[in-house]
Amino acid sequence: MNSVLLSLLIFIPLLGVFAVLVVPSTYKSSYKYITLTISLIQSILALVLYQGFDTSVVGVNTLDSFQFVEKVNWISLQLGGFGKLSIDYFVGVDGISISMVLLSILVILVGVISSWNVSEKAKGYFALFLLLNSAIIGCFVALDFFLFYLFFEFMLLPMYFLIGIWGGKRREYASIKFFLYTLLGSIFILVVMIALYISVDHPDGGHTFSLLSMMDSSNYSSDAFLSLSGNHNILGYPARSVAFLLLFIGFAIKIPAVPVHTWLPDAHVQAPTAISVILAGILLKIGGYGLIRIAYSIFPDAAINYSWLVGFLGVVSIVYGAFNALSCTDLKRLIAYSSVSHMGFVLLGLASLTVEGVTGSIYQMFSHGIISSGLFLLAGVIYDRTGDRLIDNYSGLAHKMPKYTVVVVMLFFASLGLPGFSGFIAEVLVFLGAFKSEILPKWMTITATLGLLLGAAYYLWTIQRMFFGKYFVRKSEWDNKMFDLTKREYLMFIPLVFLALLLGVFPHFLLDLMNTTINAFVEFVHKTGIAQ
Amino acid sequence: MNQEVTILTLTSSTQLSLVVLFLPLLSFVIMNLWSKNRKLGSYVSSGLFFVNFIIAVFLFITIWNGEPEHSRWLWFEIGSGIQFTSGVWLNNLTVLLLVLVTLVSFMVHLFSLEYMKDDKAYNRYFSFLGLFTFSMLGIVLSDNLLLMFVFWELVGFSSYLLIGFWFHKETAAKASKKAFIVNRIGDLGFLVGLMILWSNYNTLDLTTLISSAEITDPSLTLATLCLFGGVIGKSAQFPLQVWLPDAMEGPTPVSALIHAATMVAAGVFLLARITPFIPIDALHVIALIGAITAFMGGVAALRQFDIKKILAFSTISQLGYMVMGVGASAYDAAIFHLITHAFFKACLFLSAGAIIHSLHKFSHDNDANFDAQDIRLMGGLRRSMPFTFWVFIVSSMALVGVPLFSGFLSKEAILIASLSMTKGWQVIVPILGFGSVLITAFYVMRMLLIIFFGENRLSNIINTSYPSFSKVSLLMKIPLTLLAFSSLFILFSPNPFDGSHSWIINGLSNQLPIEHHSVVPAISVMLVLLGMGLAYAKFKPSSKYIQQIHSEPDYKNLWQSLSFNNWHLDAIYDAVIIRQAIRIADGIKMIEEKLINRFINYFAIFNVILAKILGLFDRYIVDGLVHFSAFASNTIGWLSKNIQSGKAQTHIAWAGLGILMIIIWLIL
Repeated sequence: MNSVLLSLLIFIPLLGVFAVLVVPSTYKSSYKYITLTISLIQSILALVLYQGFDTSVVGVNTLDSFQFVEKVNWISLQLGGFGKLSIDYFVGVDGISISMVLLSILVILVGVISSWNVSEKAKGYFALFLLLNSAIIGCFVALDFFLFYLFFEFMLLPMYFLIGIWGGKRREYASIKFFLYTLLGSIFILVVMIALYISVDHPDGGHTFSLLSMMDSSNYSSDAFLSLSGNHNILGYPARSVAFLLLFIGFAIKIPAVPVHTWLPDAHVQAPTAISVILAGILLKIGGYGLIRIAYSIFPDAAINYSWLVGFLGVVSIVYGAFNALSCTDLKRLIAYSSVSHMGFVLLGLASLTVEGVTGSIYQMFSHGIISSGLFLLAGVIYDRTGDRLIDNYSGLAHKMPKYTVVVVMLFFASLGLPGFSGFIAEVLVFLGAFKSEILPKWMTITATLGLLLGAAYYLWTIQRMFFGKYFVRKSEWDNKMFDLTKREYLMFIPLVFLALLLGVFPHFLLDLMNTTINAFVEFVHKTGIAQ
Repeated sequence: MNQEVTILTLTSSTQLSLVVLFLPLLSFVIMNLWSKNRKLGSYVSSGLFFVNFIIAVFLFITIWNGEPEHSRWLWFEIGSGIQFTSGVWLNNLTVLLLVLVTLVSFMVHLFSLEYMKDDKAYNRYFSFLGLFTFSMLGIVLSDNLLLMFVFWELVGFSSYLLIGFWFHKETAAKASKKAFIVNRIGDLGFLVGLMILWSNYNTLDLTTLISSAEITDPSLTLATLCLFGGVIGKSAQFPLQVWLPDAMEGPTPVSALIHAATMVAAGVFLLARITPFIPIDALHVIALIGAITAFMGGVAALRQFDIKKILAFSTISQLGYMVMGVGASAYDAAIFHLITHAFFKACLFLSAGAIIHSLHKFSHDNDANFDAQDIRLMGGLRRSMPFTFWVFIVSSMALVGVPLFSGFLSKEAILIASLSMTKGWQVIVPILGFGSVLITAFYVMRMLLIIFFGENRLSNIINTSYPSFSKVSLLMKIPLTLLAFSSLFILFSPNPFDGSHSWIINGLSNQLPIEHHSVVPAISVMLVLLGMGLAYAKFKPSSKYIQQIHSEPDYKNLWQSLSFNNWHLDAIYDAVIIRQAIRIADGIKMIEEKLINRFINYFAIFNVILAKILGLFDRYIVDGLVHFSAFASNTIGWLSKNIQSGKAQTHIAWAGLGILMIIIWLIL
């Protein structure tokens, strides 16, 4: 059972895709039940995964540091002089990826519940949704670069259609922007992947796509293109640095970091609620995860040299995103920019390369996954009722929708880093780590604290304008639509708020999973990075 | 590399202190679940607070002047062995504050049972009070700075909820937002302080820091000043004191609890906790900020007409005294003043609440619309509200610092300590300290004369016979009486003229008790008499000023405007910070739209054009080549058809030509 657990997680949604495609459209109300069932099965498997995970396993760069490993030779082609092309189906989890897998399964489950009212072209919607589900899990557990890339691209496609077909008024613009941006990122990653492939020797001859082999300096022959001796230059820069920066740009687009973030607000504003939730809750994390798993682990030497840049863009994102959120008039756009700001902490924490900072960074990914999902659902609640999200069109909603207001206040405060919620733990760890770090200058961390202040400003200003004061809605016909949260909406918020609170008060539930891995990661990067 | 943190097991006292901590949280939960039954719920919650107070007193008896007790356990761990702990540290300071917070909370609960009786959101009110008290007790009990920061922020959050309790009022909504954001500015300082300490000492545990911090370490000056940033926010010190006057939008008992007795005192408490490792340079800065705040707050209180605003500015001024006390190396005197101030200021706020409650009821019953907090419309309340008058007088005298009252003892202690700062610029600290005594006497006397003496001025604006106000109910009288009693000297020192032997000072300081000083009390009593006399000359009931006061504008000249508008700080901040921030935000939005997105769009357009060009290239050149090749092959085919005419000679001739051409090609 254990050995196929990850495959089950990846492929059960694919079965769901076939099921949805086979069931005729006359039974279209069954699609959501199929999707929900799949998500519930995944949740149970996630519990098994959580239970079976051994937190004492140390390491981040060797096969024994991974659990639930499956490795099967998948493609093996003799390509003449080029050598043997071999691609493995190679999956496994360590402390970093398991937290991301658990987060994904939770957010997808919430996403299914929030898709409950989708009836337009339901077949396509749920089929794409399940395909996305499969690709997401695959991306987080892949240990073969080619496999990772495959899943990475497979996420792009359903996302493009989900925004482009089920989105808002400017959906085509948003979806194409999203697609082009991410495609650009993918190309950079692809280039580095190929360069790595030809540089890394397989122990049994030929080359390999295995991420673990790529992390091991002894697998690079001395004349290899990306060899650690660094003889090769591209435009006068060491090849390894260029490769690291290409990967960084590729993943920074996904995170997204300023200045390659502008696809995010448009994609979010146009995307249907559930897709926004998945986009903010999971897809952004692939950027951070990719940086840790691939860019930092394979190029630790370049990572140490360029961490200041990563940290700098993190700080810029934090402050720039927050200022942008301050001038937003659309609630969903505001939340999207707050995502840019909060994902900046992921970069800052990672760049510090201290245990505190990296822990904070991954904790922030998880925490932001929960909280921003909730925030986008909140924007969806009001959009469902009136089809309008402009902040100025509402006032005093607390009178008509007291329960909704309570959830808004809780999640807004969770997002602005109130202690007791998970975001606080993450941000404090990032700050402590970044300030302590010898890599980052002190002013960066101090500037980043501005993000906390601006966060309070844009959230509280929104609460004051939309929820406090006298009751008012722009159009009188909205008046009778302003009913409070329904049972289904409650069902989406309860697990998110509960988890945000739980992880804010008892962080060890999550930390215990990843402590040893993070420790090994930081040691590994420092040891191999400085040894070069 | 990492500090080894020892785990300290729970003792019976620390266990009890955890009960004290969590009972208010329980009250918060109960009041939220029990939102149906108004009466019962509120009595259950008041009962819990009473129990809480009793336990706190018990803890006080156990710990005071005995062995401090400290329990610590692992909160969470990161990496391998980097530990974050949480714990309870009970010493004299802790248990003193514990009693204070639980007592004032309980008093405010009792008072609120009556005060908030007619409010629709009665249960929400009590639940928020529970959350607030929980957070405040957390600050008091915490044994490390991170945990303290956690509760520090939660105090800010519950204060936000309580200030904005009447959220339908635009002003309340704005005031709550302002309070939270201004506090957050200070908290950024707190956070940076934590970062500096963590990177230098790898711990945030108070006892470890006290024992391991090198007081000569220059980074410690920076770190403690950053922590002081948090104090500036929470204790409403210059330059962040602007949030406190606005916070008066909350219900008045809340002002008594949060914005007089507890939350604003948290900053002073934090200073007292970290005082063993504050370097002397930092102390001087702290004293200076405190003195400036004491003076500015006093001046701002001079020209207010809103009874709660007067008290708010007076609170700012008194908090300045406390901070000044810590800065003058007398944290014991500062805490002493914190305690006495908590009682008399809570009493003042609650009696103001009683007045506002009656006037509000009156306006409601008589269908009259006037501001129940405007002292210009009061006057002569001495006769209609005698009980309130007396408790107000007692607590006012304590505030002024008249001998026989508690405030006298504690303020003298601070003033005496301030005399240690006489070198160079430091002399400004005692000067401002003594100057504020005069100002305090003046504004308190003015307030008393305008509110309680003379004739009632309501009849000037509404057509009514002499108004009769409702009686203060028993539920309100109990807390008022107790708090007024606590404003007398007897609770604190057997000698009404000398606070230096007060049990609080003796219990807190491990130094020799402050020397008894006879000059300082003499000077300050003279200043008090002078201030009160001046105020009497101007505001006595028969004066022309009082006769005209109901039509007095908010301010008539520059100086009055300066005082009324709190030194125009709001306007300055609005122009210098808020407008600039909004301009930056708009600017960044422009960058986003005009620069980044435009670049992206042009890039996209460029790609489209490129694609078009490629398309043309495709159609005319590539396709053209294809067509051409098709044409060519057609022609060649036609040619070769002719070639292959079946005539052997021509065949050979063409083959020869072909071979020739190949040979020529190869040669070239």
